[in-house]
Amino acid sequence: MNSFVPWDIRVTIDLFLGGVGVGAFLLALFAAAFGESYRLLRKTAAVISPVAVCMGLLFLIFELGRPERFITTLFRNNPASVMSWGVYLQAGFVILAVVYAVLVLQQKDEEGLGGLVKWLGGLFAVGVGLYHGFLLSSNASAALWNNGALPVIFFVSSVLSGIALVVLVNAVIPAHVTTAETAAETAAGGETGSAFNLNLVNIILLAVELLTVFAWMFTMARGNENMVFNLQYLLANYGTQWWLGAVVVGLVLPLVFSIYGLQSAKKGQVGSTLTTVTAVLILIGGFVLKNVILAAGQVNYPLF
Amino acid sequence: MPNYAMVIDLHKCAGCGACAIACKNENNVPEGIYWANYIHRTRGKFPNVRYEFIPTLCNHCEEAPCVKACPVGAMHKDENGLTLHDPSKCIGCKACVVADPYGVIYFNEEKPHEFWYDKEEAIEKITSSGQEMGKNYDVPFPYYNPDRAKTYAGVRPKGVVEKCTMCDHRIKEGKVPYCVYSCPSGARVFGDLDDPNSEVNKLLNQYSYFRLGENFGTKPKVFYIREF
Repeated sequence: MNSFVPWDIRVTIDLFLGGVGVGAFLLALFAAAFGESYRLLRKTAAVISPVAVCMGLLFLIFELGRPERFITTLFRNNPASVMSWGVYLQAGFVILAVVYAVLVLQQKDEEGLGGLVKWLGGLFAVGVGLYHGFLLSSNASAALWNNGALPVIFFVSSVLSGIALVVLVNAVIPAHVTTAETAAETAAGGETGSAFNLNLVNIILLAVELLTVFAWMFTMARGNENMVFNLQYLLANYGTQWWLGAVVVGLVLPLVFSIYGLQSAKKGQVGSTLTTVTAVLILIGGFVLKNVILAAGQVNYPLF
Repeated sequence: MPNYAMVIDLHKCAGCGACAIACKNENNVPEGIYWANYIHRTRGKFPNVRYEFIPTLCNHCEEAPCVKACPVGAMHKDENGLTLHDPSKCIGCKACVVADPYGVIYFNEEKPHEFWYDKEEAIEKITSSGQEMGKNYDVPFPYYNPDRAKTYAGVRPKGVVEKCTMCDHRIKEGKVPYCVYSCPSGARVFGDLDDPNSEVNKLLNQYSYFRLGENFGTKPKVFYIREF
């Protein structure tokens, strides 16, 4: 029996950064729906999105045994292979995200072809976000992966991480800070738009993620011997990382902070200390969650 | 077209491991990689003990998960029902290794048969280096089997995966896979599942059998009979 673990941390980095790109793009669309008050946030998100996805893809390419052949995946395909779908989804998404970023920077994203790029990009973003999970869940013999909860866990984690990175970049680059004041200034400048409470967005996503993770773990714990074996393997070898990193730091604390912040509109602004700290926690937790699931899922229960 | 399969008679198998060694010779399989392998375990407590030995190889599954996972079609099913790999297409993504429940697909992390290119001498200025010995031959290394290169890369390069081909180069010449040929007790039987009179069909109808990882829906074509 071959005990080689084929996919190392470079694959996690790709899944994480790819997820960040997906989340950032969806945040840009979300911010756009709130009008001009989030123009700066939209810009940051739109720029981060293709940069993150491309960086992730670089790691993935250098994880290949034959990096120079990566381009052949565009003309050699296999309709049954989820990875093959991913090649086209990611290629399409990168192109759309770059075009969208350029349009946003030129403030042309709401006119002409901008609308088409936006919605098509949104579709591809969801596609790529789901692809990450399906790539893993399509492996029948990987008990931790081969279930319906996994793509949801990965997708929601991606969206959370994407939002978090944009919020963090917004906070550390002063010119990009979108606070109550800048939002008010934009509004005073005659622009239209309304505000959203970032904490509320986080609460909804974190609650969905926590519930799905719980459902997933419960199903594994009460599953067949492969499921029980793999869950035990995960908890025995990555227990601290899982409970402390992925669950407490990545989900529970951000949820608590977000609920605490919900009481005040100011604390819910992108750029407030609370949302920035929450963003850092979500990023750490998101990475750990994906890495633990990826590493532990590759270990198979003995065949006999 | 034939649908090739293998039956392994565990009652005849003595657990000598000749199949694993023979395979390495025939297919120029490098160190750390085992196309033909075995699972063994001892269970129970003395005096009630049991030793189990199961020779393994690629199951050449009808529903091969590695073929489904390969993004570039390098891993494919051929017209004879074998699961084969094309190293010239392989990008080394290892999706097949992840998808394979049996652990029979190996990745070449390093240059294979590196010893024969190594300049280091075991005892400096006294013994020769691997490279000094290796350069005296026009083949990649002294025990290289050129027959292997008829249907697959003679040696699979660094950065791609490799696996059992059921000795497709021998099958094409009307011979049986080398592990079957080398088994001293005749425990391995190779044949066509679609031929009702083939030896494999006779054995499968005579005895009950099991296959590894049947619950994964892979429809493996290596059958084990007469477990004892």
